[in-house]
Amino acid sequence: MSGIDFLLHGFAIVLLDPANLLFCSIGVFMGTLVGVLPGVGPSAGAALLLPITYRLPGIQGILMLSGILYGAMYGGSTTSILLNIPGEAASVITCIDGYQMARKGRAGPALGIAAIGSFIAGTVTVILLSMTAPIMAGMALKMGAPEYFSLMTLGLLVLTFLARGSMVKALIMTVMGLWLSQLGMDPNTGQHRFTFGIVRLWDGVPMVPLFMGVFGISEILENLEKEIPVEVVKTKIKDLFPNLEEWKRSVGPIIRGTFSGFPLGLVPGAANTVASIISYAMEKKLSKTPEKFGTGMIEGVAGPESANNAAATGQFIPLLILGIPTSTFTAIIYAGLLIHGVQAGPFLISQHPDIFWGVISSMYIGNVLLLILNFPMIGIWVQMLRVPFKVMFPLIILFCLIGSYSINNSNFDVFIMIFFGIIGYLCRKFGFDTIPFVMAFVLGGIMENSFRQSLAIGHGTFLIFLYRPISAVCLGLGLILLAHSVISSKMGKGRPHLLDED
Amino acid sequence: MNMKRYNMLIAAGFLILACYIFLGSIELGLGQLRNPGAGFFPFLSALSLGILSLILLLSSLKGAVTQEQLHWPKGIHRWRIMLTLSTLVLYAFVLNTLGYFIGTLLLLLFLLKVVAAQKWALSISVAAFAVLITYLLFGVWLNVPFPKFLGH
Repeated sequence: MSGIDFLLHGFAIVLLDPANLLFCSIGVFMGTLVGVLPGVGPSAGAALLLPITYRLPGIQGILMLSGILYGAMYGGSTTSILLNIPGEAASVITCIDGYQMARKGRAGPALGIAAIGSFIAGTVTVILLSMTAPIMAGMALKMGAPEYFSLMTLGLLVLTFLARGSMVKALIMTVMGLWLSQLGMDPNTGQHRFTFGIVRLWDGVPMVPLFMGVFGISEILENLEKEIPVEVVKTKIKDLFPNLEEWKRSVGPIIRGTFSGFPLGLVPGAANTVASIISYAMEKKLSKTPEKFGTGMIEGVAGPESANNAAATGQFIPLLILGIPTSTFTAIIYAGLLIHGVQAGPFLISQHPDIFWGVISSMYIGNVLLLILNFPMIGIWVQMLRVPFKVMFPLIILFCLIGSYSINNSNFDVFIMIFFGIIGYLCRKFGFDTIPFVMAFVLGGIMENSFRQSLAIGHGTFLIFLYRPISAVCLGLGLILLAHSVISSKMGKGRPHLLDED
Repeated sequence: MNMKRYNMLIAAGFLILACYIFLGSIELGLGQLRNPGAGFFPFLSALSLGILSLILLLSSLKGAVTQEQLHWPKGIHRWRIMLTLSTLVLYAFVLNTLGYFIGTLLLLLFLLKVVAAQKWALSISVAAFAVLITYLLFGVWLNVPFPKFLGH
């Protein structure tokens, strides 16, 4: 069977039971709901809703998760267009022309083209994914432990390079994340490492309470410091479908955004942001009236939104084929899949093709349902935007509490969440970016394992990382990044800060 | 205290932590290079953390690290954060005794009425509605075994 056949098989599995669609729809609804909440970014919102999917059986949980993720992403675009508040770095670009369109009374088409562009990008890229995934998986199988270790090292170095603030601080956060991942029982020797005599830490630091604390609680604490104004554009949202002229102007940007965004999904850490920036820059360059960008050009919404979604699909390649999440968005999917017993990696596609294609088709169905459900409900989301943060934040905290509690039914996990909430808040205060920390924590276990295996393969020599070409190239690139940031800091130049912030 | 001082203090804190991890990793056993022990990776982490915190310390001393302005919340905003955090810790302690229903209702009421300064009617209705809906969704539908009042 080819990739496309498998994909169709995946759709058959998912669509066999109508209840599956219901769960995905609930996911889309709730995802959009948290995505539009003031003061909660899409990644934080999706993390908040993870617990709802825990207790659903396999594919239903994954379907709901996909609905939540797409819903939360779209919710983030809605706040960008209507409030000029980007939910994440990737939506900053959407704000530029989206908000201006809204001010000119074209909020409907801006929201519409964001959903339609995302949908088209999702459709094309899921086909591209089904064609490339089997080839990539074949290549991934040839990769050994040294390649894995070096690739993850490079990924973390790219993340630190793109992080906010000083590079040294970002590297410290990465090392802290790695160390934290070592807490608990050593899988090889059975020794307890840095558990401080706490039995609950024998299994390591639980991932979801850490997410909830770092993304959810710390964001709330930061928002409690200020008054969040609620100024929704006062315009009637009508005509969600763009007019003929707007359609004509959007087709090119959507196609270009889709094809440029997909390969950029492989960029660790900032795929969505880089994709939307490149798309915006490209459209401005190609436009006959580049000076009008920033005044409400639909191309400035259609291109970046499509590119953003295409990159989101592209990120499934490192996630599902290599088992390496490269962004907070995929780290949440990674955690969600683990909870449902799906271990992503090169063997997933060959040993469990039903799960692999089930996940891919679930993600696509999430995308389709988003389009169908969100058009009639846009009025509800606009109303949601008017709910003040002061009324919302206790409810967001409640979701964090339930989410942390319900994994192990233990209030120890609630303490873990609060602890990392405080840590996350302090990190924000002192200019330490939390994304390298969380990503290093997620990747730490796999990295250590690959590292130990590599040394065993290489009979105890570190040169094993240089003897293997892919590994050597990855480490070389990492070294160049480090050298670049050292040199540019000596010369007083900054680095780009592109991480997908919440 | 300015950001430079904070950076120096933080760097010193990380340096102490690096020493702690270093000693812990030695105790765990480094093993051999062809068969690394449980302490080997933490040992590398400790070394990296030590070097990085020294760099942070030295560059803060020289003023090379970006000196962002640090704004601590003041007045009512500081109180909001302190109250929210302490209520959360208290909630985690009493959850198993008070049970989900009563504990969460009190938590939400406190956050809405005291921290967010909302009216009584709104606070009570939002808190009661949220507790009821989440209980039905998670406790009844998804079978999360929420703690009950005094364990009953």
